[in-house]
Amino acid sequence: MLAEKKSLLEMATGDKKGQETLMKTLEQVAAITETVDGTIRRIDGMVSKADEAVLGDKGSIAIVNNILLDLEAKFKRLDTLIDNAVTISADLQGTTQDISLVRKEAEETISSMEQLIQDVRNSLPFEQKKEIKLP
Amino acid sequence: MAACSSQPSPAWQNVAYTQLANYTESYLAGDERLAGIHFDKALEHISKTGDPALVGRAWLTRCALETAALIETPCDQAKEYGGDPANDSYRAMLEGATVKSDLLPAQYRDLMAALAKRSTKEVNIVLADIDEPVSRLIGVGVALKRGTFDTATLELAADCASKNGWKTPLAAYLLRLKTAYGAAGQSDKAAAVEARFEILAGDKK
Repeated sequence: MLAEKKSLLEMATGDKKGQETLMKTLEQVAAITETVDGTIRRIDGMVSKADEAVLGDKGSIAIVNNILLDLEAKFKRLDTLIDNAVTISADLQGTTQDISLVRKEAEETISSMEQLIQDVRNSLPFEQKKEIKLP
Repeated sequence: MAACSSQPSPAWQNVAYTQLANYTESYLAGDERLAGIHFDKALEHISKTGDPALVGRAWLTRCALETAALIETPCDQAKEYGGDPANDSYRAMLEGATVKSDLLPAQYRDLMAALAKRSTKEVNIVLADIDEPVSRLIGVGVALKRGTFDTATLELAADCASKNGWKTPLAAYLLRLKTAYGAAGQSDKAAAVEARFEILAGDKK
């Protein structure tokens, strides 16, 4: 999907550097989506074996739920940003300025999402040690 | 030093850990583009520590996965960050050298003993006993490098890769199996392997 967008971008804008940075940002979005997927799967697994302490009003699940709601909102924002990126690329009037603005917003959103994912992790009682070990 | 480690784990470590895990999954599942992004990201965060042993570990992870996928790999980048005894032993193991197993991760110790005896039967038993599927396939790659394996080793590896949807190593094992069954004149088995391989190839479209 992203590859198709690149050719569109190439057609629409003459600015190679702008395209490349935007592509990089979009790739980051793909990577981060996968990370979120993994986190949500882990939470699913946790819920299935959670006890009262975890499920209580002030338990981890309540916290995680709030964070997930926040994440959801951020995802919608990213969606819009990507749509904008495609619109700009299709619009021959689109300038480098627009692209760098979208990029900045996307990066900022990604960074806040990373922070949120971190918060989810820190709220999980069963989180294993994240040592960098040899496989 | 102890007072300096934050609780829970520091941010770089969390990110690097997840990115390396995502790299592993993407690489084995055959998505090299995504694997590349995850690996670069992991390296970026690990580099924040300035610790050559940790950077070496990231490169060794890459080298180990390539070994599992039966790709000839020189482990050059890992060599650049040599000097850590555990890392160096691990690299030697991946290269197919005889290594003292006490510095290796625990899951490979029995394998090293079985390989030292050159007993294919024992190697297969020990490999089936490695719980972590990634480690099991790395072990298979090492056994192949040492030349102590048979079709049962390859079947065990293919089964493990197939269950996890790890296309990259699976394709490598199936190719080896096809050749092995073909050479042994077991044409029905070779045909069955070919059928599995065709399904994998179709997935590329």
